[in-house]
Amino acid sequence: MFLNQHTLFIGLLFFSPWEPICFTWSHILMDTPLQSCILTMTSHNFQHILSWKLNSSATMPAHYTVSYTAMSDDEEWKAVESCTNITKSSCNMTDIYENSETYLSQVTGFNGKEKLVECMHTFFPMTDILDPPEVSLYGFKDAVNITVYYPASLSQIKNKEKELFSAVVIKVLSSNKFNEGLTVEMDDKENVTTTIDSLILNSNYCVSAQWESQISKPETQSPLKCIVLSSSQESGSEDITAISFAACFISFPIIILVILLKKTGYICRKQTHSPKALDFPPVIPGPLQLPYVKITRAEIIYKTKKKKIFNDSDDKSDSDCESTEKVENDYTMNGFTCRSQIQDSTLCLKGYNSTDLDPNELESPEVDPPLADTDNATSYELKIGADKSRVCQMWSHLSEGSTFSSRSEDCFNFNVNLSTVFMGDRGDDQESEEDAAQILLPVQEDTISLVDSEGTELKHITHATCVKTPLFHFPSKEYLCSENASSDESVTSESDMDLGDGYIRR
Amino acid sequence: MANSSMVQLVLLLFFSAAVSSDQYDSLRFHQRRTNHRSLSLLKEMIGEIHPKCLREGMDFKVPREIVQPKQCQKENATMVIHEMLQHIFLLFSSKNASPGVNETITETFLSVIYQQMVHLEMALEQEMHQVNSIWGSEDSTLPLNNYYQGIMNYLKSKEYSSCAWKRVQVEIRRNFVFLNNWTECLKN
Repeated sequence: MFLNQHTLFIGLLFFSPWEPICFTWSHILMDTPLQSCILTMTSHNFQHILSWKLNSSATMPAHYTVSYTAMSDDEEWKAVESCTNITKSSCNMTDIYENSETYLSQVTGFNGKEKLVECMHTFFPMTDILDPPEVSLYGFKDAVNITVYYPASLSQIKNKEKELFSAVVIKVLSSNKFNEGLTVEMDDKENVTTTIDSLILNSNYCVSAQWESQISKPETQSPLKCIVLSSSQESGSEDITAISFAACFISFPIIILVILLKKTGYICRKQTHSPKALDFPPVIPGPLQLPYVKITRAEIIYKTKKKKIFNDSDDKSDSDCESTEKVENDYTMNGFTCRSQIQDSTLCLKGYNSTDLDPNELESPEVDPPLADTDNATSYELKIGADKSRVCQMWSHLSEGSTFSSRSEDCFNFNVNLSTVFMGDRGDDQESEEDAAQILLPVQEDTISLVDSEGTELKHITHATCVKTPLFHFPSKEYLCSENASSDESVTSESDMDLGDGYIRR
Repeated sequence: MANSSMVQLVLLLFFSAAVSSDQYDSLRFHQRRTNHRSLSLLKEMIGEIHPKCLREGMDFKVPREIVQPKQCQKENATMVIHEMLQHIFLLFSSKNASPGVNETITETFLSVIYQQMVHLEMALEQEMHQVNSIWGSEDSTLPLNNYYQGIMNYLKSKEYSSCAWKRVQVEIRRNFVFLNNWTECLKN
């Protein structure tokens, strides 16, 4: 019994149909399931790119091969030449399809000779592979301007594809509601603008566009662009316009005014420089001390002595006068030198050339420096209050009504009109005391007229000029210390002025 | 008397041209929408094609006159478009049409085609009343009849299999691409 079962088992082993079972099993063991992938056809700048992504990352193929076929073709799969045995996961299939055909694309992944991945994709170029159009918005008042552009240059579109870009469908979203799409034809233009009006102010409107030929899905629609229509948009623009106009109206007259003021010289005046000849030194030494003026010094000693007729017989012992006689040319000069010891102010008119200045006679430290010679200048300075040698230096400029200026407290200057000063020789004793008194006190504002010995009134000394005569005589023993000149002759610097002389001559 | 009748005829032609111009614009607008919606619905019907259906390859020999219109006239385009839509409607309204396809999609597809056919018939009736045209002759529509008859024979031979219907749906989608070209002929 047991032997029969064993024999039967051995017979079954040899004659039972195991081979098909084993073959099928081995076949199952040899064929590995192919991995699938996700194929996506995208378009960017009119370049259609097929890309794939593996579902599982069990075994990555080393390279890929892309092939395609059309549904209407009876031929087998055609390999894409640029996408054979590639390592990247994308393939450009821009030039291989027709718009009306339905294509199948197949991606096969190999690892050596072993096929690991195989996946297929169906696409219809007319509706499946286009970039959405670009959209721009501009809102004003209650309307929105929508401008649609091609994603790239119009020249990049193939003729066979132009029918795909013939029209655009614009959808407007308001209050979370999309209205019915507005179809706008491109008419082979680079961009098309359409206006949607009668919108509600202070509302948000979003716009999206897609090519009319494409199936409505998120990939084929452009990103939403939104705008809020506010009532201030128009006023804002108007404000800007008003402000700009106001600025123009204000600035324009101001500019014109500035130009006129500049041209008239009211502003931005050019400084004109005066000639150098008119430039005066900053410190004018004084009107009495012009460098080009010849200065002739004169001493005036003022005495307040009693009137005394000048006489040779007079006892001169009461005074410290000394008479002298001198003959020169045709003139006989008699005079006396007196030195006043009184403390009173003494009017002494004494003139001398600056070059003949005797330092002994000058006890006053205030000696003005001689000025330059001039034809018409005679300077005098009267100084009162000197002690022993009361030397009055009087500087004056006797030209044209000269004026004197006080140099110190003790000195004062005065105009001496020598034409009013009595002048004559010593023989003239007939002068009355009154006359002498009048003459002798020019400080009492009596004019001094110069009168020669013949009584002829001399020329009014108005300026210092050189004159030989006239003699200047003070009958009351006044010293004549001034120098005079006629108006016609120039003053020479070599005038002889004697300190003790009672006459003045040049 | 004769002059007044001539004036009336001229006025009739003038206004009819004006009306027809607006009518063709409306017709073109509706046709574009019909084409777009039909393509979208056909894409849903077709979906992803299985590679096994590739073995069912068939060249239906579309007439060249349909692929690229030679005489792009509005009246001729109206007639051609109407004929094509009519055949497509008959094809998808037969029994066992589009197996495995949602019936809603098929009904919507047929509704869109029918509405456009009505518009086209109204335009054709006005054209036939105005001018004694040759648009109604069967000679011009013979290639179209043969084409769609060949599609019907293919389905019958394949026993209305799913792959056969897939191929037919793909072919009809090509038809609407051709219809886009004819629709542009309606442009003034």
